[in-house]
Amino acid sequence: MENFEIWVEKYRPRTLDEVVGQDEVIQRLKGYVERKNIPHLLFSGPPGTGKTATAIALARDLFGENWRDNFIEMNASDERGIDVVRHKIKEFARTAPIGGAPFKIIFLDEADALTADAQAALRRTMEMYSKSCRFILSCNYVSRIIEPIQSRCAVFRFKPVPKEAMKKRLLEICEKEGVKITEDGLEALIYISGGDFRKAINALQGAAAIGEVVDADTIYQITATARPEEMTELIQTALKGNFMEARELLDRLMVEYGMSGEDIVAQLFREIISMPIKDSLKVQLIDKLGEVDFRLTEGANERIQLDAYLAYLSTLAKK
Amino acid sequence: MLWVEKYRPKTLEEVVADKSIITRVIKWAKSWKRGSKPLLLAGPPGVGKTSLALALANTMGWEAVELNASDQRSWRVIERIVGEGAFNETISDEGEFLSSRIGKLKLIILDEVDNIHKKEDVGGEAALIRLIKRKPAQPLILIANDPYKLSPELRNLCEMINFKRLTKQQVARVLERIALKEGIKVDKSVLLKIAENAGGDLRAAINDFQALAEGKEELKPEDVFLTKRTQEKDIFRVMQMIFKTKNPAVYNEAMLLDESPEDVIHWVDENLPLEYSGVELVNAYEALSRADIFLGRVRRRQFYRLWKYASYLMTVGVQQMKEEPKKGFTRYRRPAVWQMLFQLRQKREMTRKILEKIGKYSHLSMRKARTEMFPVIKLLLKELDVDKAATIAAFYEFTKEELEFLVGEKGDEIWKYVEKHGMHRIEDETFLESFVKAEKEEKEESVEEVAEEKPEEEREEPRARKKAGKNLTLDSFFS
Repeated sequence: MENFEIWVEKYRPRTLDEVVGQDEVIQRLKGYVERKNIPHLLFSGPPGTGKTATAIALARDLFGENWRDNFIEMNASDERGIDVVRHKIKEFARTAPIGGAPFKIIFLDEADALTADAQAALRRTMEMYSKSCRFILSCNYVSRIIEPIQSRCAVFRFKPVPKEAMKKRLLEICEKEGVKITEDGLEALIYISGGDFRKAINALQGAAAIGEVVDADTIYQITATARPEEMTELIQTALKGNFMEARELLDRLMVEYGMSGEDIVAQLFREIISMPIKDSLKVQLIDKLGEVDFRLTEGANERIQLDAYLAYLSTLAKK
Repeated sequence: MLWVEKYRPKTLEEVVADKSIITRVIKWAKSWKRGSKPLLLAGPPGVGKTSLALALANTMGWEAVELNASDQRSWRVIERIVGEGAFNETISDEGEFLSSRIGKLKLIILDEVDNIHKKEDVGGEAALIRLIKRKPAQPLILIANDPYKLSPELRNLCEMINFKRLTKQQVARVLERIALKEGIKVDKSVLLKIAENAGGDLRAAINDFQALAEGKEELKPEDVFLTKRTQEKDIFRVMQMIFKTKNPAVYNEAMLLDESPEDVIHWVDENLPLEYSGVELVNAYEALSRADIFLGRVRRRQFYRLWKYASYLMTVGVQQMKEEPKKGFTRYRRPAVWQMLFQLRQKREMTRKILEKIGKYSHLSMRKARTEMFPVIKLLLKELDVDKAATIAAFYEFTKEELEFLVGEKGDEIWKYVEKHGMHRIEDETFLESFVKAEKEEKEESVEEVAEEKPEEEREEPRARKKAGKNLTLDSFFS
């Protein structure tokens, strides 16, 4: 009778000590906490390695109960353009830190989503507010951050979570949640996660929800259901040369799942890559799909472009 | 002065329409009170929808406020104008007017509502629905050519009256009356010819008649040169020319249509697979795809001169991709896409709101929320028992509608559970502490207050506090 919810949230680290698998990074950050001061920071590393969690944990450790008042979180890929980011930063930086904190922290996630120009603007903003604010930027690749920003930040590289550390943590979770997991289940989990904790925990919780025992089969089943089954059906129907039926499926996918043309194309890409067909044919399909993807951004009606792709698929059957 | 304005009917008796329509409209007006359904007058152009509405206002002694939905593009404007017209009267709780203008209602006539939800007017129809649900204090008449471009929700909120095309005789009789008043001598057969050419569109017929006869004493049969008018049926003709012929004049024909290339492309898309298959289908879709790209450029940059390329490609381009003209009779279909696009927009709006919440509470961009969390959350809501799913719903603050969107009927159950147990998110608390029964809330708050007074202790024992929160929650769930 445990209190059940989203495990990635439930087991999100609250303090730096709870962050798993990033020992070196954490040691250095704890030094900042002791001195109660940080420079601008740049966290880089693959998804699901704890960059955001570490930033929040750092803020909690630094500011204690006032952390929320002195910490703002923005996502560069959501906020429309650097102006919005700048405006939000300005608003946030205008007021003094609360509860005697020496500065406020601005966390900008996915900073590598900003163009070079936007990053240059960001650099100026960082300088303007550096008296009262510290910036923590996160990115997947340091190389996508312009050098002037890199040089102003202490750079921390987050590694994919090591296998053993992940295993240990996953087993802890299984124990707390009363989940039975087999050895091959655990291996499968680690394999599909590729060092991404969020992926691993999500797959574990999904698998636990659909089966008594979590084994390799349920893990693979879960990762497969992440995409609608109709997608496979869509391609196969089209490839059989049945255009009208394929188009009806497409309409249903768009309407029922609310998928955009871009979503559909992204799913088609994954689907085609893993299809058991000749690789030479795959190359053709992917090439054409890329053209469709491009035309989606150029054109006016997604459905026309997607219909055109289905028509293309439907003729391959005759060959 | 345009004759269509000069001879616009002043009273209901003068309106050319079926008796049953007039009766229904009068009944609606006489029994109108706040909360009555608005009227939706639907039918082809020039059959007297607007005239009927204006004449009704006259007959009832109402002040008519006419708005053209397709002129006032943004929904904010529509809401403001209609909103003010509809709400600026003071009313008592019983819905009685307290203002001095008792009895002088404003009849709001919103024309071309089937054009508002398309294209750049995102949310135009949604705004209208909200407005109607607020029960405007003034009577409202909506006018549309094609009511099936509207959402079922909007249609159901209205009392719909369908107008048919007028007969040749009905149109000719009106022309005869005008001829009499203008003192023009004209043979009935000539008027019938004008009427026939207008194809049931009275406005078109009057305009043609004025162009031909104004200032003359007599209109002779040999003076009647009429350009053929295009009507809805002509889109079917264009389809025929595209698929059944190789005649490139289809381009000119398509340019004469009332519908813009934005609409025509959907007609071609809808009907193309009924006629072509195989290589022809692929090649024709390539032409259509290119046409769509030009439409995209027009839409983004307002380069309307590019429309001609789109039009050419979607007509002649598609037409020329076939070996032989198609034979036989094909029943062409109206594009299903409008209805679909409407549903789609609603779904996407819903998905966007859900992703925003997931992003906010799981510290992710919307893009990552979509790929990494959305499928898991959906699966868990579906698979878990209602009590457990409810904790997830409360964590992300999903609404009833969002839950129903995610997992259908079960969403309603989950929502009821959340409501019943007063589960909600406490900002800035960890998840374990977030859910308490409403009656236990006070206890929880007192625990927090103590903690706030002793920040040092709190920092030392955060785990212990979480446990306390957890126990509370469990007690409340299962007691």
